[in-house]
Amino acid sequence: MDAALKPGKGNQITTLQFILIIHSVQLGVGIISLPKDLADISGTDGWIAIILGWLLSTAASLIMVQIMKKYPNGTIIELIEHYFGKWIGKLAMVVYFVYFLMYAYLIFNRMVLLTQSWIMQQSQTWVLMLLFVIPAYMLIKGGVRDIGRFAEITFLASIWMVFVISTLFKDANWLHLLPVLKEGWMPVFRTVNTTITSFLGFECVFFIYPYLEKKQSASMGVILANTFTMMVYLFITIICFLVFSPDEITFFNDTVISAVKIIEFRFIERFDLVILSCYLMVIAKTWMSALYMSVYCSSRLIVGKYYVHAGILLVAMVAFNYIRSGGWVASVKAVGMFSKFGLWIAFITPVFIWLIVLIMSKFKRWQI
Amino acid sequence: MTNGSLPFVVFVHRRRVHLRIISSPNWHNEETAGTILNTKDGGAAVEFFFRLFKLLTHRQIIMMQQSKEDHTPDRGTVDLSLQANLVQLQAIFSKAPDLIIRTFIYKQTGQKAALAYLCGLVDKNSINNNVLYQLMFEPIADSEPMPTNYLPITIGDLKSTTQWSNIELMLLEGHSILFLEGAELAYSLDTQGWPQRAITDSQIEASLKGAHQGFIESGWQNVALLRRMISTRELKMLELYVGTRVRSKVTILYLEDVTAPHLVEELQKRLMALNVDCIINTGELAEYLEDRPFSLLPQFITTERPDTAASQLLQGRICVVLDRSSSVMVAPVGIAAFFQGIDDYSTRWPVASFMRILRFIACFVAAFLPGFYIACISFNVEVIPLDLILSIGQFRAAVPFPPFIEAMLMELMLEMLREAGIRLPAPVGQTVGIVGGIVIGQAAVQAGIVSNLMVVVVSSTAVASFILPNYDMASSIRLIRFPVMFIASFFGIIGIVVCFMVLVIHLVQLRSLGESYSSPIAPIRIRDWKDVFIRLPVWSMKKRPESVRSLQKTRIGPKHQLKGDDE
Repeated sequence: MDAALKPGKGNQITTLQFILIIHSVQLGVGIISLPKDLADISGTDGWIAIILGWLLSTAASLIMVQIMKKYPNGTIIELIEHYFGKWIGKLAMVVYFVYFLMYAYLIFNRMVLLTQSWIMQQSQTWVLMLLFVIPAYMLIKGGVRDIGRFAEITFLASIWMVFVISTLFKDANWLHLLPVLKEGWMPVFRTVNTTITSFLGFECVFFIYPYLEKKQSASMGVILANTFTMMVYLFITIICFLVFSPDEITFFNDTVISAVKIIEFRFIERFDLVILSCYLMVIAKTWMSALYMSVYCSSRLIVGKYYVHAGILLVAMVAFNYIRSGGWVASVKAVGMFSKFGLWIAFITPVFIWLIVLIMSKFKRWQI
Repeated sequence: MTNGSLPFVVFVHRRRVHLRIISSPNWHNEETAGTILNTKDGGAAVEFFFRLFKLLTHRQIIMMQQSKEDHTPDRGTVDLSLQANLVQLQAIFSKAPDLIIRTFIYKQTGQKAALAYLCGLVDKNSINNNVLYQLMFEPIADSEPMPTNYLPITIGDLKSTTQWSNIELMLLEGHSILFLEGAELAYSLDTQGWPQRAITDSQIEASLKGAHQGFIESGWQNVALLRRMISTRELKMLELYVGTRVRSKVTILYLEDVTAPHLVEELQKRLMALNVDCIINTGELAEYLEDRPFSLLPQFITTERPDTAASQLLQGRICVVLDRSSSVMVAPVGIAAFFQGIDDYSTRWPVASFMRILRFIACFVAAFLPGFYIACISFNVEVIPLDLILSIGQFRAAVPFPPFIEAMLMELMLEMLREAGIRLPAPVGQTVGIVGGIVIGQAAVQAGIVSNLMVVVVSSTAVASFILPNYDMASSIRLIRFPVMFIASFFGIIGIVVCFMVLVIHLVQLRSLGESYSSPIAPIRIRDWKDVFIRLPVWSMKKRPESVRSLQKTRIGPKHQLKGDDE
């Protein structure tokens, strides 16, 4: 294991960084189409489902923290190796490697597709990907601590967007939300599936927990991170619901950008271009962090420095995109498949791991 | 101290035997031996022991002066005969016309003596009046027999040495050396007085309301300036010598009860590890000590102002004074420190805060504005409002170059003008500004080489890049502009965002003396923000910055005054 990946003094993150890393892995490209996806199923009641999704994801992340408490000095990989043995540990490495690699690639791909369709129509997606290889490599090489710090600065640098988007409230029509629960609870429940996959990303707790400086604040941290993500989702979704009429909203694919397009200042037109460009930083945080986790697993699995793995994977991603750039439809399809995988990784397996570990840690052999 | 009861320790270090007199804790160097030799009763005893050891070990007994002996070659000891000594001295300093050797008759003993010095490095007045005159003519006050080692001269610092290597160093440092016939040692007299300029305002760091004393090229004077600012016993200094060919004295200054000790250790370790020929300037020293030598950004502040250095010391940082250099290095620093001018603390806080914010905005303008312009013109034309784009189109219609070339032309021209303005003497420098700014600018627009708007962009960038109080940082930011322009010409606004990301990631990863460079901003330390983007009133900054990890946290408050310590 590389020294730079070892948790411990000099490689620690503060609680705020912990919160922001989780938040930044959650909040990515998904938000741009979220209002439409919600409106498709449950109309303007979709925002209630966000709160339900938040409850579920918070519960799942709390379970993760409970699991990690059983083995505080290592990531989930070490934990599984400790409790279940070397080979199951290797299996876990493979599973998490594939999961996070898919996560990273799908978001990366979605990000460049978005860029291509809104800003740079003439550029190839793989060229746009190439542009992000250097920052990604630099960030991953820095490890968890630098990802945390980068998340902090990006957070500070993107606060202004909230204020700009808030100007949309002057076009808002609050009647769009009424009546609440117009078709009862059932459509809302059916939407929960969509919303909980939007919260995916908190499973990075498994990998960043050992780096947390104050372990006792982990539970509070995951709750705050999820709440924060929920607030952003709620804010954006409600704004989109208020700006567009309930029928109109289902016609826009990238609802948020279409909403932002309404904003226009005297000194700058097409404000959506600027916002989307700056929002790329937020999206980049998501897949770069995910790629880091994936590289963490792969460097445990196969020999080699983790940043070499990162470089190879990044180039491989670009090459894959060059060979097989699927376009928007393929991306939507792949993300749909992936979210099922995510459901297993983030919501279902942790419960099982938790129960088993709870029982096993009663026995002396597995106690630390 | 009584006669014959001098305790001393002998130890072997690097195959040499050292004699160390430990009668007093701070008597551990050559000075001590000199002092003892001059006292009435101790001198003979010490001399006896010297000879004893010489006989016993057949090796050289070297006085403790660790850093000196580490570098200088062994050249043997002083001889009894004056003639032999002078021959040896001539041999060491061959082809050195500035070496003056004055032989004369020493009044007290009536024997020959010689005084040697390098004529440019000494104070001639003090040699003539305080040394030569007294040795040659001054009658002995009373008839009581004087000890053999008594010297009737009025010089404060008197050392004696037996080593030629020491004599050589002393001479080169501006001491004058006195040889006496029949004495197996030489005296070094503190007659230093090399050419020096007066203590004036710093040229590159102008100050409106701060102090107007700037550092000069003499290490001791600079230390004294800092001592004047912080006259407390807690101000500790460590002295080191760096450079194998030419020794440069480096003094590390820090407040003992404030600065984190691990920082001092780290800095000392890095300085000790240096193995270079000679270090002339602080910037050079800083480059050897940096954590990331390939970074564009300066990782240490070098300042020419004692008040800046003192305020950094008080915040818990370390100052490094390099002899012969007029600037002082401060470590560890974060990015925020480069945006703080010392004038900020002497102007009213709303004004100072405004200036701070202005600097941050200017920094962004200086780094990204030309890039943004290129991106808007060549890629994201939709962003520009219609009225503006019509007028831009009008101006640009005459310009055949793509925006990137146009911007590069102007930017390079501007950098050349700036550099030329610095190199030329002041009266001509202004002419360059006028010729460059007005004549070339105007003519270039009329000739259709660049557009009007480009001139506006470039000149506002130039103005913005001069606003930073720290020259190193300002030049780095000026340099960042070029890659940004380059990427922007290929990828538009996205390219700028990527540049920003790379910059932020780099900032986050930088370290200064092992401490994080982006410190109060990432990791976010809200308490330190009182002095980062804005400057709140001084009385509200009760704590020292957390980023420096100072031992003593508070600087204002009853608790501080009572105990002198906190937590």
